[in-house]
Amino acid sequence: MNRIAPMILLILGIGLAASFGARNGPSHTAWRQASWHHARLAGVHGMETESDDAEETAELQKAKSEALAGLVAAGLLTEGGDLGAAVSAAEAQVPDVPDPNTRLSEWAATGGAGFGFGVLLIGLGAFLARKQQAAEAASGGGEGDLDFPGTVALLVAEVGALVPKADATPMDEDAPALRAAIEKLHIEHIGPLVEGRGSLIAKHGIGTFAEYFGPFSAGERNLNRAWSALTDGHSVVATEALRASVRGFEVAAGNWPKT
Amino acid sequence: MASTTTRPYPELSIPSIVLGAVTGVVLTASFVYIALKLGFGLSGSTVAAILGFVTLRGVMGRKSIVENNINQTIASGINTASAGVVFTLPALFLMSASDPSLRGFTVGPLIFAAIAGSLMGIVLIIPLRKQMIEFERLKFPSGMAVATLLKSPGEGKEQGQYLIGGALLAVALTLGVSLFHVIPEEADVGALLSLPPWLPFALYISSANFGAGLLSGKGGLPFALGGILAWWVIAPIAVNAGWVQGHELAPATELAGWQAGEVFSQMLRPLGIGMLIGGALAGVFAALPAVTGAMRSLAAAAKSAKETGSASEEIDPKWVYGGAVGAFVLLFVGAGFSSPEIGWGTAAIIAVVGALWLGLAGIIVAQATGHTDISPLSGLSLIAVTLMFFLSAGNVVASIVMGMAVCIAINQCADMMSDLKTGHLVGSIPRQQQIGQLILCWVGPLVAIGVLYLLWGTAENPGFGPDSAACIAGSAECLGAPQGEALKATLDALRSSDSAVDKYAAGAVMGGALSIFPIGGISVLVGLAMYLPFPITLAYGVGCVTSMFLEKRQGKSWVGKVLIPVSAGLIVGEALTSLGLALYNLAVAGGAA
Repeated sequence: MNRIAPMILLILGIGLAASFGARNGPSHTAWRQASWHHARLAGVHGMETESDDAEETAELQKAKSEALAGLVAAGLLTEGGDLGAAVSAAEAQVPDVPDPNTRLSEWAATGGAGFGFGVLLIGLGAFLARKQQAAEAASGGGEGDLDFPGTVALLVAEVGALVPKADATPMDEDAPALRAAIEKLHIEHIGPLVEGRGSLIAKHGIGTFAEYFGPFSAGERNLNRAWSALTDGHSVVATEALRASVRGFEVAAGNWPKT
Repeated sequence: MASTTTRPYPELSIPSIVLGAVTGVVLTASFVYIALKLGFGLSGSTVAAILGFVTLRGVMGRKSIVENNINQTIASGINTASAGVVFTLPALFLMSASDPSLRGFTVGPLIFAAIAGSLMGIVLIIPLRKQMIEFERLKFPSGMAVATLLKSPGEGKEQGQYLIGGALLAVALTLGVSLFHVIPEEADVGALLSLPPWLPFALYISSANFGAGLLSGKGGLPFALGGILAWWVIAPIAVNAGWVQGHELAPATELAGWQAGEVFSQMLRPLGIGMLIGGALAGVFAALPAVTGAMRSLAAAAKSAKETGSASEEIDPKWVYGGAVGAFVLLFVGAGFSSPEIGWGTAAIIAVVGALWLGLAGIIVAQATGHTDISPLSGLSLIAVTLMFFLSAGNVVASIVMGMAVCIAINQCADMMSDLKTGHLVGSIPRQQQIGQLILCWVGPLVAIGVLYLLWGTAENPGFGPDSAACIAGSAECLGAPQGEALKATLDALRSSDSAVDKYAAGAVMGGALSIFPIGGISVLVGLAMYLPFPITLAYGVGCVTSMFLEKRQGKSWVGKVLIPVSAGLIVGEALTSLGLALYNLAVAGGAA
């Protein structure tokens, strides 16, 4: 229930705010409608009726007479009326484009209240969601049960164990077992920490989070570099990259907040 | 230690720089031409990565995944200028043809502004690498696809087959849609159910779009939900509540079509742009501690490297600060000399606001691309031109020149970050990638502007200027410059004061409010969903849901071994086939897209 309430507020809030936010004021609506009428008449007026090909000319003329009939049916043109004059008349009826101030004030008058209520619901939902996330992170529930220091210590040990193996690999020799070991570390240890980082941000704030997650990411990138170097048969660079990866994870562990 | 002899492990090497520069120049020249003809740009990363495979690994026998990453970073970095220039500058050329007062512009300020945009885009996004790649973990589906491609020599045979299988599927689908026309561009379920156009239910048929959804998984779901909210809730409310009126006697299909267009262009799209702006502004404030931390970390890494004599993995912040100052000066000079009517005071205001907007828009585009692989470049560039138009008191030349700089910059931001994502996945050193892109940032603008001048001035085919024989004759070989025409239409609208300020403001407030909610990137995703046509959003959402279903059923390991290479193949396959089709259309079919 606790998790659902903020989401319901969010969805209702977005729906209300976006619906009323999208609404246009009366001047804008009148301008668009008059412009459309003019465009419809002008579009038919501008239709080609001549072509080098007689068959095509007949088709063009048929299309234009059908379009004219449509305008008559829509009440935009009288039967046998002068289309050019109707275009001019419709153009004269198009009001000036509402200026930005008018648009803003008319929108506020027609959609402002609904929009404001929607934004309020979004804000309320956000407040509840953040409160709930912080409580979960503090109690170690939800995604907050991530053992970042423990997993990083494990990574330091397991990546460290790969260093002598990479060092022992001759240059230009394929090392599929080492690459598979790196891939396994990604899936089993790095992936879950990355997935659960939201709870870490909620717990420590983005500033503190950045202090340990930055070096952690550098460790991860160097692990990727070791994978690439092993693929390229360069065990020396792979070994250096694995050592750099261990250093990154060690710094991350060191920067984990003590309290 | 078993290894007896070692060899260098090339990364930012002369071959990678030369190949990246040559590929970038060729791609830029080609893509300027293609975009003038067909109206859309292409990303060069995939093509550059494959060329790198053939040249560096195949021909030269250089086994280094990270070296190819540098080559691809440089090539795509140069190519980003093509979209920025083609989207904006042709409008100035076209307007000057009919308005003699606009013919006084010279090439100097164009080059200054374009290079300023290219440089500033890179230096502004560098401090955000940690925030976007390491902390937010944005997906950058194309970046992931390129990384999968680069890593393919080390993946198992089976995963290579999945990559190729995905690519072949994409080739077949793209050819079926775009060449043979046996598959529709959209699977329009709504039409079968006789739903009105303002209640759309259609899926955009694109393997790359679906593949991006597969790679994003759960994280991309708010994007699809935003689209559903926009088109299955807001649009019906707007039409049925009479917020979008029409002529009651208009034929029903015509009226419904017009109403759908109005809902999209006059309501959802501007509101979406506003949400992107508000979300980005709030995101900047929220990320300030991490960004300042990142800058401190850059400085500490540079200091430590200096003390120990080792090379830092992060770029020295002096490059960032120096580049930002240099880019600002170029922007200021470009603005000042763009038009005789622009005084130096106005030029300073334009440069300051342009730089601020450029930074914000760059973050928006990078985030949108990072979440979904879809860039709202056109909307943000139009806002840039609008801003400049008002700041310069309606000076068209200055507006377009500065708009071009912003357009190049924000494209550069997204490209740099996508390449850095690729680099993270293959283990490249960020400093090497950033330096590679920085030192050649001037090349793309020069090539793109040069090609544009060439195509404008020539009487021979192809061309798009007033002297072009093809354009005078009205033949299909005339380059239509559709994006330039679109910007020209926008500037004409601006001259009549049409600006959706109410929607931008409402959207910005919503975007800011949504950013408080603890769901990563929700304002960008919902804003982008409103900005884009629904079939794209819905098809992407189907990809997300499919990915979630498969992950639950098959497990994470299966996703890594099967789904990611297949999805990467879908993206890579469509990118390459689209390029091939564009070239085919130009060479064989005379540009009939």
